[in-house]
Amino acid sequence: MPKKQFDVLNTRAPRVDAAIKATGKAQYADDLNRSGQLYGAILQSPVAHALIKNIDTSRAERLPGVKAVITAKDVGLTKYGVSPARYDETLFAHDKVRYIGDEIAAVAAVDLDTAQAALDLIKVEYEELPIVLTADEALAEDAPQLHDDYPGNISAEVHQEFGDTAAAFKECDFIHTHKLVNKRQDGGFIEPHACIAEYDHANRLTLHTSTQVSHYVQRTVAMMTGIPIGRVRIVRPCVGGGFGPKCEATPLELSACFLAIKTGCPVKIVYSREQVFLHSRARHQFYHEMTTGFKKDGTIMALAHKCTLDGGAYSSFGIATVYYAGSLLGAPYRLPNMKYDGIRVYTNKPACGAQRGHGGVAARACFEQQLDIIAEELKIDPIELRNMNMMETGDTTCNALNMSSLGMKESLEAVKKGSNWKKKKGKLPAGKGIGAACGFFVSGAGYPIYRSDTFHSTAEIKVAEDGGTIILRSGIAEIGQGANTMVAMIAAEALGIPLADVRVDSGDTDYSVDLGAYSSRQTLMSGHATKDAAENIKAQILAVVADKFGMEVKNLDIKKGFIKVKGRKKLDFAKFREYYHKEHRGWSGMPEGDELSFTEAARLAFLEKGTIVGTGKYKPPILGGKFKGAAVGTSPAYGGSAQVVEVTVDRETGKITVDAMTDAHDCGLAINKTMVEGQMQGSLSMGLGEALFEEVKFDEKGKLLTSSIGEYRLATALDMPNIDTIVIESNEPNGPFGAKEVGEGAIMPTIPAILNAVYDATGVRITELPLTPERVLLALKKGAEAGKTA
Amino acid sequence: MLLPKFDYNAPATLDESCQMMASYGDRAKLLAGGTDLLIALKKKTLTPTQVVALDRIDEIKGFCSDQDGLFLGSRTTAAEIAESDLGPAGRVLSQAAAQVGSPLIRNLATIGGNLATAMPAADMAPPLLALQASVVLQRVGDQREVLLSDFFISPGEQVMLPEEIMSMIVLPRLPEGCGGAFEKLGVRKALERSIVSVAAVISMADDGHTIQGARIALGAVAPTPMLALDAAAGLSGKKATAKNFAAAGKIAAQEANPRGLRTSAVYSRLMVEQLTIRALTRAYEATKL
Ligand SMILES: Cc1cc2nc3c(=O)[nH]c(=O)nc-3n(C[C@H](O)[C@H](O)[C@H](O)COP(=O)(O)OP(=O)(O)OC[C@H]3O[C@@H](n4cnc5c(N)ncnc54)[C@H](O)[C@@H]3O)c2cc1C
Repeated sequence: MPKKQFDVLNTRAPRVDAAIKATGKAQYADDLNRSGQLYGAILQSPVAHALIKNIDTSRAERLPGVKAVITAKDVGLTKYGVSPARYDETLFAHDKVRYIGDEIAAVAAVDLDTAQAALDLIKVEYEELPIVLTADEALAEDAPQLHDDYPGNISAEVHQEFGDTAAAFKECDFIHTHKLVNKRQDGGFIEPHACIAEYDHANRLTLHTSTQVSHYVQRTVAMMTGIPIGRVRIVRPCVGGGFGPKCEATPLELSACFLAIKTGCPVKIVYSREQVFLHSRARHQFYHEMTTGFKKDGTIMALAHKCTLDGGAYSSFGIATVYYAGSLLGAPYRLPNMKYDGIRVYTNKPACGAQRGHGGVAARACFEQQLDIIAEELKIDPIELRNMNMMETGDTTCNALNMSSLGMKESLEAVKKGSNWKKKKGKLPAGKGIGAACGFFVSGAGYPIYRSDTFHSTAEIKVAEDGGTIILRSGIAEIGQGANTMVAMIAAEALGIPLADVRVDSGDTDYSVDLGAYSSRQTLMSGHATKDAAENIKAQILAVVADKFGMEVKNLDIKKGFIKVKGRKKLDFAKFREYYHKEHRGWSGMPEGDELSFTEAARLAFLEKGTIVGTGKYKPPILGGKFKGAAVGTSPAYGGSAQVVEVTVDRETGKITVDAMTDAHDCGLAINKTMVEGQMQGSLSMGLGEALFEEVKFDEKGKLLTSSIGEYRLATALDMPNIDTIVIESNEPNGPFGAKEVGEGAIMPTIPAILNAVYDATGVRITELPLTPERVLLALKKGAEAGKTA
Repeated sequence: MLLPKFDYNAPATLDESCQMMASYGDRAKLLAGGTDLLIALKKKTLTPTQVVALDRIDEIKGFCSDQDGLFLGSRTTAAEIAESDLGPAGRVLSQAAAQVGSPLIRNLATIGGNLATAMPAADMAPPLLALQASVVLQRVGDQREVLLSDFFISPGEQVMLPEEIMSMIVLPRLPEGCGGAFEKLGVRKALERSIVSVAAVISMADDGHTIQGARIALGAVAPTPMLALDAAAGLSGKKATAKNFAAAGKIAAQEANPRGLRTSAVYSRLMVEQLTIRALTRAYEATKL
């Protein structure tokens, strides 16, 4: 297909926020201060499971400088959470605590020292209960129970079958079962959660907060405080990363709101790094067991998949996570029969939630290893085996996901070539290995988290009255990924003006509804809404121009900031230009030349009609299957990726060095190529960290051991090899200008590609992450005893 | 986490700081780079009411050498040590300093702080033990020199009195034909506490093949950084061969006393063996330079 020519899109335009970030002027939540503000602090449980016998706040209240102490008595027992079907949290524990870190009370004081001193004065009497720390313990027959409403410690359960796996396995020539367990991971974003809440005499609440989802925070705050939603305003300042754990209303935000209401003063609260780990809501620990059946010729026939998720004390996103862990294996390979049994259990640890590649990362790591195992068995090149089974554009999976565009074959081919696979596979010296894997991900959840016909994104564009610029107002979440730049570029392209003439104000619930930055949805969904709004503006302005100069709208267009005319009839605007020059007597930079500028046209539109405002909206069409849980995995589009990784394994210490990574990602049209590459690089580094280093650890009492980013090991710059990022551009019919996701899908192949490369280097399959030197060495020794080592 | 309240003192001379430490006693803590101390303060594991900063005291910064050896100011940073040429023997120390933390940490972290913190995994301790270093401890009206091998007591504990200040680290001059090497194993390539570290220093006889003397020191495999005396003694008079190095590795692994906290004791010992072999091999290579 011949590629469309764009003026703004598909370039490497600098980010619209580059200057404020590079110069340190960007304001994050903790940079915001209000006169008379108080500082909040939260009392968290020191024990993992206990009945609360009594809470005495009197001494804390008497401490000079303390302005308010709140507990469940003050804020009530309204249940909240992420999915309304699993509201299982109250803001403060009242009868029982379920993990070390569970919130019990909050304090507002004139300074942070006083607030923290007050916490020490709150006396809580606990009656300790036995604890469960692992999924096995939670599922044991006489296990201590976390929630009365969820017997057996089962937070969610999924049983699905597509096709007939039992019958399909009978037709298979090879059946293989493989297991994998990952470790609880943390988002590892730079900026800990922070917020400042303000409450005024008109019962209006304004919360500036570091969030990925202003909209959901607004709803939760309204529900919890009882303040009408129209009086609750959530504003998102600059955000230093989210990766999932900032996708829900937090106890931090709710405490600040309640304290602001109670005191009438602005209240700021900031999580320490330890509290970020305690709040968690990041990647679950998954125990996967997969049985895959193949024909001799390499055709995948069936997958039977069991998974247990260690969820921590509350549900958070977990109900979606347990579905995603199954549904995301439906593609990108043709898989006619798939059975999935997933279960998410409660344990006395911080709650897990969504993290980049939601639910699918460990599953993908397990499945892609199986493909390599079968390929070896069948003596087929692993890339070839993948290619043979790869879906194509237009295919629909057994669980009803439609691949409206799919550049997977191109991606696979690109990494094969880019890595020089043919020269390396099977030919590397001892201790070196090469491995491949693929992945795919949704480009926006097809349904909102609560049941609703709401638009997923709306946008508003106002044309400045002088005509020179447009102001795009949107609820989108710019969290460092470049969402503001993305919508600015789309607005500029759709309207036909230079990027510099677009100003973006975003992340404010006063501006528009946008569900936020999760499920890799904003480029497609917010992009659509923005495009819609820009087209609306364009139509309004061209209508005025056509009317004024006696033209037909269909013969007019706007490009690069000028009005273009089709056909023979000329735009006779000499008089208007003269007027415009007079209106700006003494000004410089007045429009010249033989084309009417957008600035003049927009000024004209204002003079005729008053302020020009245009709105846009998007919601996905009805998509996907009708079965229970079909909503999770359903998306208007899917991004795909392929990766080849090369490693060196030190066979005497077990230490793995990743030498090279070649990554290709199909993102539809790359709105901004540099930003696409940035997402790919970031995904790979997060995947590499999860594969090799990261693990949130607890002691036998449920106390967090890795409470700092010194103890919790993210990949450093030295651990990252140079990455070859190859952008594959399919044309997504459901995306704005053909664009779709890159934010999460890119992480999918990293872990299995590393695991496959380690196998290639050593002949040993390791089924537990992370691949620490000790784990690798012990696996190699075991392998050597079994006579397997290559 | 907030810092607790304390008074901040910034004496300009060693004398002045000794006076302060004498009057404050154990209510005070010395502050060098602060990369260990500030964490302890924030976690409230240390709660001094006085902090005495050493950064204005030029007498304890930098290094010099004479016939007797090399004298390193305790306030010298890991970055300075990593980037300086400390002579053939000092290279093993530079290698270790270069692997401390990250560039940001190395710019702050001092050698004195590294030793005074007395963590089993302190990276500059093994090379200093292997180099037979001693430390000079100063207090009002008194000064003593303690061999580093007599300095450490247990994790976080060493022989210094509350009022003492470490002013200098002394490395005796090594015979000609010496070479040293440092090996560190961590999970990541930077910002990593050593799982195991090994420093080896060997000196060769004139024939270039026979080992005259060897010193091997181990980090992170015992309550304190330690010397593997038997492994080193076993090499004396032997040829510098892979076989002999392997034997030394085995003995060092036995001498180690890992507590099995971060990795299993079995793995730690295996790594002592491997890293000892590697350190000896590279130390021998270095003797030929
Ligand atoms: C992120 C990070 C990574 C790290 N990585 C490593 C690593 O890879 N390897 C490693 O070995 N260490 C590492 N460390 C620990 C630390 O950086 C080193 O131990 C460092 O050398 C300490 O020196 P300092 O000058 O910062 O000491 P400070 O924190 O200033 O002091 C430490 C202690 O020594 C005492 N002290 C300091 N100077 C003197 C003196 N002259 N006389 C008497 N007492 C004194 C202080 O009172 C205090 O108790 C790391 C630390 C961090 C935060």
